[in-house]
This record gives sequence, structure tokens and C-alpha cells, in this order.
Amino acid sequence: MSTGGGKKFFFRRKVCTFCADKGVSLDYKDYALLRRFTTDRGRIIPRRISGCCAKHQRALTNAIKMARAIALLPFQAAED
Amino acid sequence: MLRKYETLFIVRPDLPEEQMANVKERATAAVNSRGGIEVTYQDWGKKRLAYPVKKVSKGNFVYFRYLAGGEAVSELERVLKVHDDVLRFLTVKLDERIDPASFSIEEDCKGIYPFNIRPREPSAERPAEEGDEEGSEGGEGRARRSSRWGGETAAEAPAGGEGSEEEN
Repeated sequence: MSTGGGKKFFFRRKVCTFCADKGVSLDYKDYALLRRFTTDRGRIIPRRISGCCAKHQRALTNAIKMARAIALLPFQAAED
Repeated sequence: MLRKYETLFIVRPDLPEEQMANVKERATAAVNSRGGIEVTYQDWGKKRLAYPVKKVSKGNFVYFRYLAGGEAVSELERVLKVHDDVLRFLTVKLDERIDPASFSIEEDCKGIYPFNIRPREPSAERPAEEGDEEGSEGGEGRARRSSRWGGETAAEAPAGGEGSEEEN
């Protein structure tokens, strides 16, 4: 944000969060972690933005969907 | 050889003690009657649901882990489905082929924390406040941690987001 303005390219972290930090395991019960990978409306943040590798994005998607099934995460968050 | 399963289910939030005990009794009986072994049954406390389930917006989460075969799961799920106080459940297979003889329940329970709120690797970002979390269900602990993750999101995800949007 501070880089802002007209710059076309700027640094984007390319390393997958879960590859970088081996201690973090993906679990549907860990809704606080999963929430970081959803938008404020509850949608899953795409890979091109979250920077996750394919393997972990897949696991993440599954985990988020399971968390939704058990009402830990919203399918759709409130509009306001 | 047994399989290891976990079932997380949501019970109505305002139940008196004896009804909670009744839920527990029925759930464990379902597993035991089909030759299963209970590993742990934990009450993770009340939490606001992400969306209302059966017109209830809060729920009491219960975590149940057990060793059993497939029939035990069907029986448990049937019992939970029939039970009026259980709002929703989710069963996950954790492990295939567990030998009950060499299985240590204490060992297995070590990694279980309500909603995975556990003392993570004490790295730079988390110095001392870890101590008062005590590993049990506590509203404050949960809130504190989610605010921590929230903070990181602000630092990471939006930055990445804007980057790629401008690239496109």
C-alpha cells in the first residue's frame, strides 16, 4: 500500500505460507487460521493472491469447506 | 486393527448438565457397542456459529475421538442424527490401521487443543503472553489468538492482493 501509485510491479511474497512454516498444519478445526485465507465476505482467497502452492491451497480449500460444514466458517458472510 | 476417527459435533448451547451427560453417554455407548475404544471426549465450550443452524446461533462444541471400525461410525452418526440436542456433526477419519495393543491414549491426546489453539513455536512474534492460555477452552484465549492472526492478515494478504491486481 505504501508502495502505491503508478508502479506496475512490486514485490510479492512467492513462498507458500505452509511450505515456509512447517510447524503450521492445516486443520478444519483451526478456524482462526483458515479465516486468514478467506475474504471478509467468506470467500476463499485464490492462489494467485494468497501465494500458496498447489498442494497446500488444495488442502486449505478442503479444510475451509469442512469448517463451513460444521459452522466454524461462514458460507457467506453478512453484507454490512 | 482399528481406525482412528474424530467427530466434532455441535450441541444446543443452553443445555443443563444432565442433558450434556446424556449426549455423552449416548455417543460413547454407540461407539463402545460396536467394539470401539474411546480416546477422548472433550467439551470445547460455547462458540458463536458462523451461521445459524436449526435457528440456533450459538453452539456448544464437543470433540470426540475414538478407535473403531466403520460400523461404529454409522451407529454414532445415526445416534447423533436422531438426537434432538445435537445440531450438527462432522466425522473425519484420522488414521487407518491402528493397533489398539500398541496405542497409547495419553500420547495421542497430547496434540489436541480446542480449535487448535495451542502454544505454537515460541518465535519472535509471540513472546510471553503464551503462558496464560492453559490449553483449555477459554473465550479470552481464543479471541486473543484470532486477533493475532487478524493482524498478520492485514500485513500479508492484502499486500499480495493489490500486487496481483495491478499486474492483471
